[in-house]
Amino acid sequence: MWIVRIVMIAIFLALVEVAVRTEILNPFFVPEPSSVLAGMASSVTDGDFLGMVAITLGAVLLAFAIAGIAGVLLGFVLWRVRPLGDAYEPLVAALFSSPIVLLYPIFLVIFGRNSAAIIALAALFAVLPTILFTKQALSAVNRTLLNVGRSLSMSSWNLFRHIMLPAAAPTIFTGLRIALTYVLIVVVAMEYILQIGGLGRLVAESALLFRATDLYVSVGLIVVISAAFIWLINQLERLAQR
Amino acid sequence: MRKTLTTMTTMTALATSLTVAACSPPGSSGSEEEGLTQVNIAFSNPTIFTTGLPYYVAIDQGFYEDAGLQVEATFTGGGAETVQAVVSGSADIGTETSGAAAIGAYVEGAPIKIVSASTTGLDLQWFALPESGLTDRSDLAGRRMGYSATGSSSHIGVLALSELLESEGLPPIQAEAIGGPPDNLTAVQTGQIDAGWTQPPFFLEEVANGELVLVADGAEIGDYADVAMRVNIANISFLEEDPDAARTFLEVQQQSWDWIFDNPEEAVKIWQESADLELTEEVLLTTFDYYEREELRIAPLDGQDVLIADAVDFGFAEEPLTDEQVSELFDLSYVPED
Repeated sequence: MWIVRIVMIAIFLALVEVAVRTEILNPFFVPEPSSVLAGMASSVTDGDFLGMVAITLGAVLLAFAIAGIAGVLLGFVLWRVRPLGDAYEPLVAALFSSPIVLLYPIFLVIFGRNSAAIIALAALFAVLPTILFTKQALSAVNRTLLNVGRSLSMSSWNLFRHIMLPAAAPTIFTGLRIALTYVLIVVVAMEYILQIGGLGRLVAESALLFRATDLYVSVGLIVVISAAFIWLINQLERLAQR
Repeated sequence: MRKTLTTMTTMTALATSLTVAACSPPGSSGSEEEGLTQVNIAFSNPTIFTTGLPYYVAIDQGFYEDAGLQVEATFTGGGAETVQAVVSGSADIGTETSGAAAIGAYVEGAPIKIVSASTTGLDLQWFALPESGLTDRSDLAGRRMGYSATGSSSHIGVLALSELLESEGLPPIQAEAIGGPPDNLTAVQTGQIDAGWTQPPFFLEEVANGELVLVADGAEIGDYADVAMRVNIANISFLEEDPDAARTFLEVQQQSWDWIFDNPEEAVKIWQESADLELTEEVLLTTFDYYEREELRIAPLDGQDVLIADAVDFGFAEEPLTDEQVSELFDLSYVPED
């Protein structure tokens, strides 16, 4: 399966390479994939570039950690305390569907024009799906499973650890995957718009300086980082389901 | 429920995409009226004297129509964003954009030409809050200063100021892309940056009232008095397809400036109304204390060597342009003869 994927991507890149070299695609807008791949390879040893990657990675990890922990806890509370769940779930759902990213000027004023504002905004955006999916995951656990656990005199912790958590994990991790996607989008988009931070800023600068190869190298690395995070979270999900 | 959540997720992702797209400069659109040649232009900060006023005056006085043009404007964040609009073809001409950004784009293969001068000299000022303790340019060393967008003249100004401070043994400035003067004022007032940029007459009232202090002036930086810091650029395809429209547009641009300096009182009324400015006509008239007619001429284009040197010094181009590149990029053949 992996081989098929790699071959399909390679064929696509080869077609683009030919299109650019024959100027079917304008090289000013689309660089040769070979030069982008070479750029990505050399950027791995570039200290400045790695510094920017570290800034973006740090922001993504911190925002995701805040959103993940806070979201799961708040989702648990909304499930556990029913009046709170009834009161706040529609509000969280409404916020989830709204473009919270437009609040960024307020975040700049509160946190300053730095990565803290970006992390806070990304965490706020990502905490919402985590809350919703956690609450729904816990609400949807089959009562028969819980009754079986209770009939076996399982403690509350054991009920949670061995029945509720494995049953709810797939839905919670769906929320976390969505949260991670949002964190990546918000962090990179805000770095791009504000021209502060790491890879998003690099993309903006490359675009504004018309350096197409640098631009695609940055975007390519963002895609790689995104894929790595999704892989990582899938591994975590498998661990939680054991 | 899971299906509902998935639907909401999709909608939210769409909203996010739209929001990010909304932060990008808008494209221009417009229909061609009978008998008029459509020209799409791009420029930044339309409330500013040097950018918006000639456009507003040309529309108000019917200069475009009289010349057979229908001009549609797209507003950008400045600098390289104006160049991007021209490179992408969403604008035929970019007015009042920095020479360094145009040179940087050209060396990367952008299909553009610099067709005339726009503003000669560095007409920028930097302000701060009185309580900041900043009083002169040396106080700006190591501070956070705003500019409009990468490659803009305000960016070049901050970089040049930083270079000057470094040559005096002081720490460099931390330059941040903030936007136009109103954005810089907000950023200064909320502590996001220490000093912001403006152009006369904006915030001069606040300076007179003691609400702001002027910390540095473009005239203090290097020898830019005889350099066309901002230029007009055009897309090569547009120049090839309709060179007469380019010539006519530049002719109207010069005609507008001549009219503005011949009729300052009427010009500021047009400016105030068209740009929806809250400043009084008296304050707007003080702008003419800061600009000479000669500084806003479209030709000659002075200081090409300085523009090229700055483009290299500040990282917009890796090496100086060859003579062939210079003659290809700087093409003043579209400037109407006197």
